[in-house]
Amino acid sequence: MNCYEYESHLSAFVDGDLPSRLRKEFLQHKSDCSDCEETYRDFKKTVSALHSLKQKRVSPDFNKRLYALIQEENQAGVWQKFQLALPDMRLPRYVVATAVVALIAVVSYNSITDNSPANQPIQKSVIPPPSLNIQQPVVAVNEAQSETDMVTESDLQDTNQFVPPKNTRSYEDQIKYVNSD
Amino acid sequence: MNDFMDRYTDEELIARFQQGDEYAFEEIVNRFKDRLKNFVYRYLSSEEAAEDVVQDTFLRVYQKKHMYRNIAKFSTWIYTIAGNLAKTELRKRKRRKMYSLDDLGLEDKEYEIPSEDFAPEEGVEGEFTEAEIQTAIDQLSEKFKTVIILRDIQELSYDEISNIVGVPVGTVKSRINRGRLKLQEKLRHLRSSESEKASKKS
Repeated sequence: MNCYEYESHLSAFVDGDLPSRLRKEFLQHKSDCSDCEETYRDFKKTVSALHSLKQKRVSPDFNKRLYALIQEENQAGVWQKFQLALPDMRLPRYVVATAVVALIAVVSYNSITDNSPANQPIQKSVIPPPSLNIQQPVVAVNEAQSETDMVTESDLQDTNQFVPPKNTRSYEDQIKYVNSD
Repeated sequence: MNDFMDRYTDEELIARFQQGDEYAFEEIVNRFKDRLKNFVYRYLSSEEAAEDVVQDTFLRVYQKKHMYRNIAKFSTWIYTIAGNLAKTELRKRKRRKMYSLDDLGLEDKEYEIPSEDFAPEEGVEGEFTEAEIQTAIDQLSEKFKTVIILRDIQELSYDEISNIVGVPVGTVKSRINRGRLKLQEKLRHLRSSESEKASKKS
């Protein structure tokens, strides 16, 4: 056994865990090497010093403080759960508020657009809603004009509105016209 | 008050607590509070911080009682919790210390408050004082410090230390040996620097 191997077995020797064969070699080296013998003495002192350290004890009110802490944390936990549940509770209110705002916006928009020239009966029939097929605006004009209950010749004369010439205006032109008003 | 609890093993106690027996928790606290305080104190060198960490450990046990599974010893589980909390606290304290040192000018160093709150005059049997040993422990790196405290101060088995630290038994044995050698070296160094100081004064 060399000095390096000897050092690696110090703990096992001190703790009584070294197998008998290695123990013999260890003891042989210890008696042959004065430095290693000294290392062993210091090592043993260090381990003894660690073992002799006084045991620390908790303060007398430890349990009382612990139970207070647990109670405090439990209350905080309940509050936290309540807070976590809050968004769910707010969700209907949020939905209702959104719906109200949307409703107001729709009503306002309708009240404004109903008075605008672009929403007079003739324009309504000329401009298809976005969902309609914009490739065929002319058909929409023709259809609207054929519906006597929607637009009549007298209506057009009374309101004195601009009437686009039949089948001459493209959909893009109609949009430009409405936007220009 | 609950002497009949003495007859239960640690594992039986936590099982009872998991079923809602609060007295079982009280017995766990009484069984482990001093052991854990001693372990954490040697880790942090501060009575107050150690007690806070132990309180926090029991709080975790109380709150996470259902996370314990009877595949490991209960003591292994609770030491692992305490050890992890102690490590976190030690890192926090190191960071705080680093910042406070940054804030101090060189001329202000004499006002620095030492982190250790043990009494230097408190002696232990044998060659070294408690203060010297604690200073040497503080100087060990985390991996050596943990195994040395668990083995030489808490007197746990290699197997249990292996489970707590999460490394094989062979590694634990090797770390204990190297940790003790490092501690021996640090104590020797402390001794020589103290005798140097004493000779300068005289």
